[in-house]
Amino acid sequence: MIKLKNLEKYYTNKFVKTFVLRNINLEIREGEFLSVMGPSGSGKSTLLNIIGMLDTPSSGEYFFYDEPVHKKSEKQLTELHRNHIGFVFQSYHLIDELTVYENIEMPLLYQKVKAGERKGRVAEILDRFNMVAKKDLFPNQLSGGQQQLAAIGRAIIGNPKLILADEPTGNLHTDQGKEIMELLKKLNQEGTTIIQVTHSAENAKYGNRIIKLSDGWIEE
Amino acid sequence: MFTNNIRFAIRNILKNKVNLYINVFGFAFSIAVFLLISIYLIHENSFDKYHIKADNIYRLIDSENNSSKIDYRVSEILRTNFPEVNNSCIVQIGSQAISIAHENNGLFINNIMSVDNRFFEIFSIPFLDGKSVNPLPTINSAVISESVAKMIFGTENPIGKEILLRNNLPLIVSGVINDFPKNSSMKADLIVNAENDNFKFSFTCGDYNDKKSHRYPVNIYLEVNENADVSLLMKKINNHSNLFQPYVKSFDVISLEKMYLEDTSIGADTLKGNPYLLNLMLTIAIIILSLAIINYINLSLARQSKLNKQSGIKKIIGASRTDIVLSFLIESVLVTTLAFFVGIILLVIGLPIFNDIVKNSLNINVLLQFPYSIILVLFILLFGLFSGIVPAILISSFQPINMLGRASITRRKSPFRNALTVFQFSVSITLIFCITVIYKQISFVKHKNIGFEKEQLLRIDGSFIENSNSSNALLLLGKFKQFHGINNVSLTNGAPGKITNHLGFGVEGKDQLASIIYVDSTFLQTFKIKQIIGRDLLDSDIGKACMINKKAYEYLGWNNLENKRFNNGRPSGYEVIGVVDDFNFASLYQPIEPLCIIFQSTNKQYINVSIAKGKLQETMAYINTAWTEVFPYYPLKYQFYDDWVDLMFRNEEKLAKTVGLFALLAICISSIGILGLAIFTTENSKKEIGIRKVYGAKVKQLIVMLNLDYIKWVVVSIIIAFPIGWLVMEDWLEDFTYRTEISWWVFALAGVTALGIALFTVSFQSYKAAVANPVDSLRNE
Ligand SMILES: Nc1ncnc2c1ncn2[C@@H]1O[C@H](COP(=O)(O)OP(=O)(O)OP(=O)(O)O)[C@@H](O)[C@H]1O
Ligand SMILES: [Mg+2]
Repeated sequence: MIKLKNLEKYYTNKFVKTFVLRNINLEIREGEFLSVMGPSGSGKSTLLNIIGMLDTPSSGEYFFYDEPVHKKSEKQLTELHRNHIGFVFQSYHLIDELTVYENIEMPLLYQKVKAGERKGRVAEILDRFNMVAKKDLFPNQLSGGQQQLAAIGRAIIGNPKLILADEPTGNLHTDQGKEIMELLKKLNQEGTTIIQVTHSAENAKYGNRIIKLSDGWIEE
Repeated sequence: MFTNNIRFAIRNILKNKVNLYINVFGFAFSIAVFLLISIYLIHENSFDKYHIKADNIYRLIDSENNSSKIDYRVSEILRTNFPEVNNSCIVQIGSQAISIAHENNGLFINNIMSVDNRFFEIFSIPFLDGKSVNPLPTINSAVISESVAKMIFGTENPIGKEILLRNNLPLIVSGVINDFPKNSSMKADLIVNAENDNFKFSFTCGDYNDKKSHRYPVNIYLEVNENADVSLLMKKINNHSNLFQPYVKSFDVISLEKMYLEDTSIGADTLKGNPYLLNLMLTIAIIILSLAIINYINLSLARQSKLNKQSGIKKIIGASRTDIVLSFLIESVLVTTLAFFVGIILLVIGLPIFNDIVKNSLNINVLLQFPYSIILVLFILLFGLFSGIVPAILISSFQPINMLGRASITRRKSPFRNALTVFQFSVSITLIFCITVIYKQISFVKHKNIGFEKEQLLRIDGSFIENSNSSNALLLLGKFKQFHGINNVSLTNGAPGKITNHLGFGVEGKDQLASIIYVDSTFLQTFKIKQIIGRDLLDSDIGKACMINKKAYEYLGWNNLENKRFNNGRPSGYEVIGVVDDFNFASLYQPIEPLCIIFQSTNKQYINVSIAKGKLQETMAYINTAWTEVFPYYPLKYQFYDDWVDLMFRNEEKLAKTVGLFALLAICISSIGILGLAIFTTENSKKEIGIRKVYGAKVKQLIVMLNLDYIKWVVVSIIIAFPIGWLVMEDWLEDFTYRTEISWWVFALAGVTALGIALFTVSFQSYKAAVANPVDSLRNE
């Protein structure tokens, strides 16, 4: 599904090149649950963002379903975001101005899903996450865990093939964190490929493969 | 998706109330101003277009003299010799008030028009009563306006009735027409037949006894054949200039539709618009609109971190760049639409105020008429799109990952935003600067010593007094002279501001015409005019002697007055017995010209009354009673000379008031925007302020720090605004004969005002942010 070849990422600042990722070669097959670990600043988020096509590598190649990502147009990338990739962030990134319901519904709007079907699918998600009572609340009226649930709901409602989660439990209580991890595991079992970044060895174990980044190098 | 976009846009708008109010009011103000100015421009551009044949009507201009005054005989020559000229007519509009009466009902009218019957064939003049073909069948026929008919005849039918003009000239009413519309550059309440010698308003001659030299200059209008090319026709006419000898050498024309705004010829009897004011208004409208758009952009950018996050999330979820741009545009169009309705309310409130200032009666209804209503809707849309497009493009072009945090929130503004703020400040400062200079100029001229005592000096209009009742004028004069509140009285023909007579000096090689004023022996005392050379006036001088002004003395190059005569006006001329100091007897826009003051005892056109200090009220009451006793059928018409001077600057005052009003609005709109910026920047810098406070910064230091941001930009704006304001005002002042200086304090005033306004606007926000408890602001992050 994902193939990274000699991928590098660096920032140039006043003629000094600072490498964040170096010589990354990585293959991820469909159905995997990959945990990325490593010290702070080692480039985990950067790697995830590149995989999520939110950021571009400085050199090297990236194939998504055997197609070169670096050759894709903005339009094609939008299409991939719309239909294939879901994101979960440490700080949730819900839209403050919209209710839980509207936040979850949003991806379906961009997928041009019909109103009737949208309703059904949002209801299903709310039901599954036990959030029906909260559907009309705004993000700032929810607890962190509830916000992350909504964010995951939003990430999966479009039935993506790939979910990228950057420290999804980083801001959460252990119990809430556990709940989220269980959820991700279940999604993986249902067939979704998941890549998560985490600091916790315990959470990493939810995955079926762990890679470690240090100073931009992969140590598997 | 579209409906959802609208739903989200509304949600977004309502979630940011401060932003909403600021944008809506900023836009509403500028839309109101824009509409107001549009109405004004539409009105000014609609002049004379209501005539059905307007496209084909032209006024003839004597291009050699750039004059619209051409001998009436030219009209017929043109008509008979050039088939392209379908028709032509002559028009004169009298500029003096004239009395008309029927039985005991009398009134003064300001506009009397003298035309031939062809006038009614060319122009669209709707008749309420009487025939519209040949409406002036005899030389004593008269057509009156509806409002005059109502005032003189009430419900009676005026047709065939007699009216008495100037108390001695009987006319028979042959028609009643609708009052001329507001947007007509020619207006009349009474139309008379130009074939009547009494209605040849102007006359010139080289030698009175030589009939061939007699000229009767009028305005001539042509109706040109629809299919004729006017420029070719003019060429043809000019190629046959021999036909028009000895009246005119070469011709030009101006079309009726351009006449009101673009005519630069002299001697046109029609109303002229002020294209300068029009252009100014248009500029102001555009400036004010751009200020509002800048506000919107600026505020959007101030919220950028917030909007960035939102757009970043949307992109990650799968929104395309178009979706993002669209959501911004929908938001801005919604805001402008809302602002539009608020703007209409403001317009309804503001229109009467504006009407009062420009002395007009503009009506909001024109905007509802066909082409304008569509243009208006398009305009609102465009306005909204235009405001939304800049932030939309800026924000949607970021990489989504850069939009999600990381970029830290600081007080620092983007150079783009700084430039916009500087632009706003600069406009405001320039306007403050200009308005100060304009008022300074007006006050300078108003307080200028004009060479005679204009305070409490009254000019009563006696132009209706005919020889038949000139004894009444003397009766009145006698009464006035006895009254204790009256210092002096002088009867004159012509008066400062009302000089219509010009004569040559009759001195060889000096062929410039002198303005002539006929006065009685008390003139110099009444006007307190200083005599600088020559002897006192004697009773025996009346009818035989004159004085000239210093300007004339210098022009003639005389060294003394020995055997000096003014050889014109009567067979043997007048002995020049004295020279008076120069005083302003014409427009203050022009330098003083040579003048001859001729002493005679038969004047009755104007009664000039100098009223004693502190006795104004009782004296005016007395003048009124005395007047009614002597002239019961005529209203008392008078003007104070200081009002005359003031009136001369009506255009400038209009300009000052207009610029002032719009400057105020521009400053308001800019201030609203700056306030918004202050709210958001302090909001964004809460964390910074919190941290600084935790580390010991004092409130005062924080306020200074926050305000300094703005002061810096005000100073930059001042540096930009001053040269611009100075150039514009130097250019404007150039037209004045008597002009004020742009002193240093004008700069200071404009600078300090701008600084004051900016500080006033932002200080409260700075203060609020500075005194806030740091714990709160840090916890929120
Ligand atoms: N825009 C940028 N310009 C310069 N350096 C950057 C930029 N973005 C990230 N970096 C650097 O790249 C490195 C990796 O950052 P990244 O966010 O990927 O680390 P991380 O492994 O996710 O750390 P953490 O566990 O703290 O989230 C950091 O040293 C960071 O300073
Ligand atoms: Mg990270």
